[in-house]
Amino acid sequence: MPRRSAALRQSKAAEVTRVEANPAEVQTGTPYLVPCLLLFAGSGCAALIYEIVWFQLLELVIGSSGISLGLLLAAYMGGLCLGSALLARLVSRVYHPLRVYAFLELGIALFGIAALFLTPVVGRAYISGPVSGTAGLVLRGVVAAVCLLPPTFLMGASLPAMSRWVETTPKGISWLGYLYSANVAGAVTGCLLAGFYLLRFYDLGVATYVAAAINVTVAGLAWALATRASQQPAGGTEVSGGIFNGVQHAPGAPLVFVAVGLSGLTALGAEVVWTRLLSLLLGGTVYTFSIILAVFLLGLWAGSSAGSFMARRLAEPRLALAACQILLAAAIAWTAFTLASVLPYWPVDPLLSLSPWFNFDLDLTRCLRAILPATLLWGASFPLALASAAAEGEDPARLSGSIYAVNTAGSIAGALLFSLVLIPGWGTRVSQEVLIWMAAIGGLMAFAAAIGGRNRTPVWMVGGAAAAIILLTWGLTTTVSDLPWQAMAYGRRVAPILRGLSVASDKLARPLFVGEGINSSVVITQRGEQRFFYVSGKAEASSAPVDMRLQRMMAHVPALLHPSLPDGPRSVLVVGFGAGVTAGSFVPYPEVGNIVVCELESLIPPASDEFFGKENNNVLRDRRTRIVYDDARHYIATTPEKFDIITTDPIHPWVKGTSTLYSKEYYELARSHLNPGGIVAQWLPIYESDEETVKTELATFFSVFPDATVWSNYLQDEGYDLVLVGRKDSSLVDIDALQQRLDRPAYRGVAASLAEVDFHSAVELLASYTGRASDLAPMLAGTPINNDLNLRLQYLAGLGLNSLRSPEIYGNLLTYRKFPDDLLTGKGDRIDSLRSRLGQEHRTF
Amino acid sequence: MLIKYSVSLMVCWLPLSGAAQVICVLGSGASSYKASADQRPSADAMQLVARANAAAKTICVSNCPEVVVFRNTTASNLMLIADAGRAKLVYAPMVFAAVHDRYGDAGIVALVAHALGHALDDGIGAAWIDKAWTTELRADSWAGCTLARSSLSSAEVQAALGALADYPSPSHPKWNFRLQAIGAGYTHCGGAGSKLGAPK
Repeated sequence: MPRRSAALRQSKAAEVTRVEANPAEVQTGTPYLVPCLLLFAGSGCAALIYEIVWFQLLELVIGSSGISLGLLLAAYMGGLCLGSALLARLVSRVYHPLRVYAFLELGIALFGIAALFLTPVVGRAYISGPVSGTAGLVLRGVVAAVCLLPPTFLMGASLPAMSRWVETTPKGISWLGYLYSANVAGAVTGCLLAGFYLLRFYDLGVATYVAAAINVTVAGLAWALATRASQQPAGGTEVSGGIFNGVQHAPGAPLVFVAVGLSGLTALGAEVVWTRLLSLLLGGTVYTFSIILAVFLLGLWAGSSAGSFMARRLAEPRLALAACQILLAAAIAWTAFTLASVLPYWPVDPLLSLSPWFNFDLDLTRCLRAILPATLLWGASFPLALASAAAEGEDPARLSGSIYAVNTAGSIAGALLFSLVLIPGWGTRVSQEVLIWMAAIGGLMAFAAAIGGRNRTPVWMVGGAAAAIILLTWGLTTTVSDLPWQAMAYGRRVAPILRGLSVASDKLARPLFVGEGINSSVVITQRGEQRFFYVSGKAEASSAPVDMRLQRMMAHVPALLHPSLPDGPRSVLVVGFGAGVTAGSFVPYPEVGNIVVCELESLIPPASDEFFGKENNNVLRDRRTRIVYDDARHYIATTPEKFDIITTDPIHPWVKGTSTLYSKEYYELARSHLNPGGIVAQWLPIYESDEETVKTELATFFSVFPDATVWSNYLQDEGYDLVLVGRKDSSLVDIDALQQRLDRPAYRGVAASLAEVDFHSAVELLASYTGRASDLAPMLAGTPINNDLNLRLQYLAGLGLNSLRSPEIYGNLLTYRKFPDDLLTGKGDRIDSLRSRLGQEHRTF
Repeated sequence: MLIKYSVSLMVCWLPLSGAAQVICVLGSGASSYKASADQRPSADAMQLVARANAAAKTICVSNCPEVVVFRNTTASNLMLIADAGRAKLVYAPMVFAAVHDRYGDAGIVALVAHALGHALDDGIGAAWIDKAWTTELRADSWAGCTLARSSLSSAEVQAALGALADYPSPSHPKWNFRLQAIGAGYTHCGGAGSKLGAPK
């Protein structure tokens, strides 16, 4: 190291002289490759920031359904694949590798900034085109490709471009591995930087500019280095007949390519499966997703570093690659065992933590325990594959490009196969068994490549080894078990809940339905006489009184406040099916002729129909009901329909990605799809939340509906829910007219539906009034708004979900409550009674 | 620490002994009650219990029973339990919240007054109490008396009656019999008859 540092301090002239005049010395020093590692780390950091930013931007355009996410992933990785595969063909080697690399980085920066401004334009163009059916699917793919292919093509080309600066000797190959490793190390940094800092405190714009600044800096440094360094490989020597004189891959390389392709397939397939399972156990916040990704990348970095170190020393890199893949099969089995049989039972209660950062520590530990072994082996496989396929004198750009391209193509296949086919079709257990078999097949391929060139290996030895590998693999698959349904239902609190249930055996629940869909895992349980509905580790609905009341309020409050008296609303859109109770609460309304339900997960409506049919008035079978399986944001943006009521009851805002359904732009979109007099109702949980989160949610809604009102569901042990009501047009609500409406024979079903949840009159329903935007303005002064560019809410909510502050939040809201004389009107006893109820002191029991 | 949560104004012990005995349950589900889940009551609950207790103390004066109050999520709506020589008033917070949402402070005071009525009935008697009345009707009558001493407005009395009507025990007779008993206690303890009327 001292010698290397000293070399770096030499003057430009001296260094150039040394490189060109004394190759033998340079061969051992490779002075410019060390700073190149830093440059590659910078590239990796910027790339991860872009990936997060671009996915966030594009999900707003083409939606976040499983298909859309698959298209985005395919476009992103397809660009990487194409760039790495085509660089060697498209760019002549007469150009200095560092200058090519500098141009690529500059291009990425330009495309990165362009994406920030052009994606909304593309989005507007997209909305004007066909958005459903095959044409819509193709259009989504085109949007993803147009936005992502150019910059990711350049990203993918960067490793092959730089690799022309090393030679295809074991040492050179080792450097290629180190460059890859440095890139991944940068990616770890980018992942954490974006997830925990840039997007938490700033927004997509700032994150983009930071990434672009990194690209430009890297480009500048690369250009500066290029002016000092020779164009010939940093290894120093030319091979006979000139550099890279058309030498092909080493014999047997196709089997190595198959192995490295399978390695990419299993890596991304496993990332999909394990992210699904780990996010259940850790809670699916933006922070836990960042931690999972960072640990995955950390393992790749450490593994690729070790693999690079080994690549120059091992005489048989193919055997090492085979060993990596075989061990990978065992490591996948280890992860499956850890996820299903160990981590759910770790005595971890996130509610005990005084700060979310202690929970992040635990999350990191659990991720390391579960997935690090496998990621180390995937990381090591890449440089070992390079060493296994390399032929002396081969164009390193072609070598690294083709290995990287095959690995990335495998990754695309893995991501799509597992997220769209295997998990929804056969579940995570079978998916992990498939992963084990794939890794073993990769090992067999590498093993076959290793022994392919040998003449003296006895057949019985080869057959025996293969049989042993197959037997071992079969044995490993038998150790994989299903994730306990309790983990799918209770999620991050599975251990304390199981502990609690173990000492209260009469409260034991039994599962009625357990399913894993494209987007989420769903469990329905029966406990006593009540049924509970869980999505991805969170209770989303139930037949318990407190939940029934909320679900009914989400329909009845907007329907009965709708100004179209004496008739009610005619068309409604329900965002999120859940147990179907909210949608089903519109069934008794005689005027409602059209109930559209937008649901992301196709597992949910049929399951809820089977187990909550009584509670949801069999809404799925009602002739007026139409189910749309789509991301609600995407559906509303693309449908020409308008509605009298849009009631939106999405998943909790601390779940990554859901804050797009709590953003200013979403509310504007919903408002623009209301008929005159229309109403938007929004669920707002104040349990599993804190003051800042609730204030941001309220302020954002009020920024679009300045006349909005707040209605509350009563206390349960863990807190309250609120229903926000935004009206397109202001009008008075006459309590007497409302009661008369409920007293009409045609409204008998509505009155009964309300009575079931303890609302026996118009007065009782309106007594759930909690406040309005104008009265709460002092409380919300200076509160940041959640918009598409910052999605601030998911970062706030992700920190506040264990705060247990709901009684204080609710109590604070009520201190601003005044009787809304210009909203609620009436004569005589009813309005007096309502005034008396709303004037009474709030109490906590 | 137990005393911290007790209604300290009541100085006399109920003559209870032996194993825990459920004296009164408003609502259903007594079998789900787990004493191990007893918790400290909230300040708001204690304030309303104290309000009912202060009214009751004007009735029993120096011969008042001591009742200890607990919050318990496994309880049915409201329970009075004799346990190891003391009376426990155990409430379900969710139900108290629901009652309060609907009937306000008076609703809680009325339910507590009924529970305290059982304790009062055990220690003192009154001329207006019909010998033919069941235990629940006698407790209702004492509840009426307690409400009369609680300085409730007409609307609050109506709300209190509404809460009593909506949260009966399984062994309670029909409302018209109960209203008669409550009315007897209410009027004999100084309540203005004009405030009293059927809640529904």
